[in-house]
Parts: sequence; C-alpha cells; structure tokens
Amino acid sequence: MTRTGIRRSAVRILVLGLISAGVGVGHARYRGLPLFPDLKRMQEDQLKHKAWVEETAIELEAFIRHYEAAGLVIDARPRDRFEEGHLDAPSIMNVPADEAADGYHYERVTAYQGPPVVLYCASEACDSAQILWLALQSWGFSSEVRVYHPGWEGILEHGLPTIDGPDLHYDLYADEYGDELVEDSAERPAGDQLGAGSEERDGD
Amino acid sequence: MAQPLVKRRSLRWLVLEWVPRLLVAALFIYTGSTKIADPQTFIKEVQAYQLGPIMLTHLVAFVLPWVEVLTGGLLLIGVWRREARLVIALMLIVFVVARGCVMVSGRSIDCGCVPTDSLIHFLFDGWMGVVTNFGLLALLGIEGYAERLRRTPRRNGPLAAETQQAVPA
Repeated sequence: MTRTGIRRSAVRILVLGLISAGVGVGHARYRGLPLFPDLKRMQEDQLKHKAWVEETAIELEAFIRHYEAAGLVIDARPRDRFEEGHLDAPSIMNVPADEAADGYHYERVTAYQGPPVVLYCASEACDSAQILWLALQSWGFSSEVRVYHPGWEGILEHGLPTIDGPDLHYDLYADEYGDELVEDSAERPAGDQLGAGSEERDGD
Repeated sequence: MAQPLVKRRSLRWLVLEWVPRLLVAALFIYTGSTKIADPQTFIKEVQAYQLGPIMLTHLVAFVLPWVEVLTGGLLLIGVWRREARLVIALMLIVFVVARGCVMVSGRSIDCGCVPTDSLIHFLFDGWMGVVTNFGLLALLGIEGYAERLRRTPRRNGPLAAETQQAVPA
C-alpha cells in the first residue's frame, strides 16, 4: 500500500470516527442521557447494593438446610437457563426476573406466604435476584426472603445437587388450576406442597 | 485486459467475497442497532467489563454502536471497504482481548454483543464469544483476500505477457 493510500485510509477512518461520535453523542443528548456517569450517584448505589446484599444474604449451610427441608427456592434466571440446569430441590420454581410482573407468577408465589423463601440467580454479578426481590416486596410478600448471592455459579462450585428440565411446578399449577386465579391461598388443598404434588403427578 | 484470479459473478467470487461480507456486515448492523435501541443496558454492560476509565464508559457506549452500524453498512454497500474492514477487525480484536481478560479473571458477565433474548446470543456466550469473534476475523480475512485476488491479474494466463510488459521495471 502506498503512502498516499495509507494517508487516504487514515482520513477515511478519521471521518468514520467523527461521524460516529457526532451521531452517537447527538442521539444520546436526544434521549436525554448523560454523557458522563454520575460518580457520586454510582457510589451511593454501590453502597445501597452492598447493604442490601448483607441484609439478604444466606450462608451456604443455611441454604442447604432450607432446601433440604423443602423450603421454597426460586430461580430468577431466564427459563431456558433454568431448563439447562437448576438446583435439584424438593420445592423449586422458576420465576424469571423479566416476568416478575406476570400475574400468573404472582399467584403461584404468593400462595407460599409464610415460610421463608430463598432466591438465587446466575452469580453475584447478576441482578435478577434483586429485581425479583423488589418485585416480591412490591407484592406485599410477607415471608422472609433471602438471597443465595453466589447463585448458580456457587451451586456448581460447591457441588450442590442439580438437575435439568422444565419447571414442574409451573405445569403442575397450570394443570390443577388452569387459567383461574386463586384469590385466597387458603382455597388451595390442605397439604398441597410441591413434593406431595410431584409424587401424585408421578403416580399418574 | 488481464484476467483476475477471482472473476466477478463466478461461484468462487460469490462464496469468497459476498458471503463473508454479507455475514459480517449484517451481524454488525444488527448488533449496533440493538445497542442503539437500548443504550442504558449497553452502558451497564460496558461498565461491567471494568476496563478503562469509568468516566469514558458512557461515551464508549454511545459511539461504539454507531461505529458498528456505519462500518457494517459501508462493508455491505462496498464503499470504503478496506477502511470498514480494518475498523471492524480492530473492534473484533479489542472484543476478543476484553472478553478474554474477563473470562480469565473468572468474572461472569454478559458479552454485551447482542441482547440476552436474541436468537444468536449463544454465539457470544462465554468462550464461544471469543471463538465467534475469531471466526468473524477469519471471514474478514477471506473477503479481503478474495477482493485482492479479484483485482490481481493472473501471472500465467493468456494475457500474462501483456500484463508483464505493462508493469514498469
């Protein structure tokens, strides 16, 4: 490539960069987005997040005791990730964080009001558990809600039992109640725990 | 007129030039567009990499998608192809290095290349993203080489003598 060719290419790349920068910055201003991050606000958000993590964390041993005692565990990851692999617990359901506003999930989760609940998502860097936690608070969920912050990565790292497949509780609930919403959780049959339901389903 | 090594409108030209060009251009236009549509999410994804000064993350998040769309568009229509190819290759190398640094450090963050609900998200998940970027670099290389072959006259063809006479000593 000749010197003229190199110079020409350099000019063209510079023009490309300037056009991209101009359009990008213009688009950001049009959307009302700040060109530089608000460091003070970011630090405040980080402190709030750290406080939330400390407030909601559950230790590994307590988490193992919880799910072995058939305590409800909610996997907040997307459905396809859940189906690829999730904690093999007697009472586990998948409520993807981006479906938290779904009325169906509201009904089946609030049916478990009372006993503590543990959430988890992909890893400590994942924010799905926090999104779901906030959704539960907005629903007025009265149970204690903890988060296993290491998430799916921690489950794999510590060798906890895992299994793949769909959310059986989703199908179980849909089969039993269809599209009808259960307004009063007391209307659910007595002793209707996930483990018992699964055994009946397996027996079919 | 000298015979090129890759003739226009031949099957070889189609496969070696057009297919890689279309694939790379379409992918970059798509990925750039999705980031332009949701800049807030892309800002978080850039910040999650924790590479470089945090004060520049917003600017990177605003400008990079437009670079992707513009270079993809230029590659597609065949204008300033060499420059578009070079810029895309540079971006791919930067992506590979950035992704590699994050994976080696043990952090698990989303690539930020395509939305998580995209059908092609699996191509950019984990180490697959590094492999995909190397694949795209290879496609660019093939396309650039094919263009060069098309512009280069045959040395041993029937008109080689004329070509050699035309070349100054």
